[in-house]
Amino acid sequence: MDTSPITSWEGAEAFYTYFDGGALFWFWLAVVCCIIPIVVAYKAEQRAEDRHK
Amino acid sequence: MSPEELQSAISMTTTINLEVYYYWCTAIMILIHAGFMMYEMGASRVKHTLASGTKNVLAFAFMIPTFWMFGWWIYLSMTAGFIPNFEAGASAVPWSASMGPNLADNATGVFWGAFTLFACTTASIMSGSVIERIRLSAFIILAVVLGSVVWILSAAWGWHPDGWMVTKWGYHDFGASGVVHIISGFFALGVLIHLGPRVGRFNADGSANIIRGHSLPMTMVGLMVIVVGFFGFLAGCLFYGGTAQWTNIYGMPTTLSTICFNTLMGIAGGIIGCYTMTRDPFWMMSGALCGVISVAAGMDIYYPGFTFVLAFAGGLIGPMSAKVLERFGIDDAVGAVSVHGTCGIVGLLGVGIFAGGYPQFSDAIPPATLGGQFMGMLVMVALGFIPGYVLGGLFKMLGVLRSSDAVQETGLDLEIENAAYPESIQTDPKLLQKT
Repeated sequence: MDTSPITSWEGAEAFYTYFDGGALFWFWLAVVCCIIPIVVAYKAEQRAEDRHK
Repeated sequence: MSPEELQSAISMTTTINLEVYYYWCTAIMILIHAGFMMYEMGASRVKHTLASGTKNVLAFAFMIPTFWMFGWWIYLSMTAGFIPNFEAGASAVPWSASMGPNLADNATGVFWGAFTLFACTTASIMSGSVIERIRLSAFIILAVVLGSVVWILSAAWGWHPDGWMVTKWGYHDFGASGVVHIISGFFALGVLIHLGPRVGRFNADGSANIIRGHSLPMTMVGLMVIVVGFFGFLAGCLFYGGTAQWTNIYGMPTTLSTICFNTLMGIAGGIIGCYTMTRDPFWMMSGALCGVISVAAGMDIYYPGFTFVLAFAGGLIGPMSAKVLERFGIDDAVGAVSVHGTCGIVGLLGVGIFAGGYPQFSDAIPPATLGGQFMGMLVMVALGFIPGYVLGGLFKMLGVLRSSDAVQETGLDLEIENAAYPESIQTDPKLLQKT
């Protein structure tokens, strides 16, 4: 997949993948990846709480 | 000060900057070794603890002279394949002017040192997978072959601007997902197949038992120390030649800031991914390695948000791969084959899938492609696995690979005639009654 925002190193500035488009998609996916483990942790804690009721 | 003197002073400052940079990268990389030692000692049962630590220290010590004797020469002379170019390697033979104190060469020692520590890392990776049953003498030979021959041969092919995989396929492996991690992971797999599982790891019906190490806290701290060491490792993957910009090892411009963004995002993504997958403290910390290895090959160009997501995926894949190996009866005590081998594959293919279109340093080098990265991955898997499998088989045939079941049951510390915690040895209650 062609994700390079540059075609030459001469005069290049921001050169990371998806700089030309798609960066926001990965940003929001990263946000989701931060939320999922918190939900997983919460559910595990709840199970432990329930077992000790 | 004359213009010539000023120019000379500026030039010397640049040289000293280069020297200082790699010198301290090398020192920081020693933390990888220290961390692996803690990690493995913690993952060992009490009776094997010192044997695991001794193995790590000796791997480190043996790597240094052997890498000086022939490792660096392999890197400079074998970029085209198995046939050495003696002219290219002339400056790396141990009796050359560059391989010792030389006022006209500030670079060779620090580059040699950094590459030696990469070699030590490869031995550390294998080391964890074979704890609690490998014989020390066999391990040292395997470590030297892996670190001072196999890894550096893979670096000559894929981590050198003139390496044949680079010039032929545009192979891109900035942070050594392939040349260090796949090589070490699959070398370890080759050895493990012959070494067999620890006593008690599997039942007669093939089901697995969990063998817990004696100090998970030591293992967790060790992994955190490895994380610190990775800053030296990945910073050492940059090249500073006194020109206007940092480059990667292939000559493509990049920045130290890029590496800082993506090292941290990779570590974090892997930890969170592994935690999500397992909620197990051991795997959560191993996730730092899963993450950073999954993104290492392309971290000189990746968007940090993407790095985080790919590392998260690596954190999911690492533990799954370990489960698959377990089903095949492979006892990889710390999951090194999965963390380094499998996640190394993710790293190499990640560049092919997600980072196409980048211009190379030279028009003579083709751009990185999925096909080139896939072929590179196959070469790395084969180059790592075959020597480990063949040597492991040879040592098994000679009966020098594995400690006997009796010694394993008593503890490998018996073989080094010491004990990690002598004061905690259980005393027979009958003896206590007599005293």
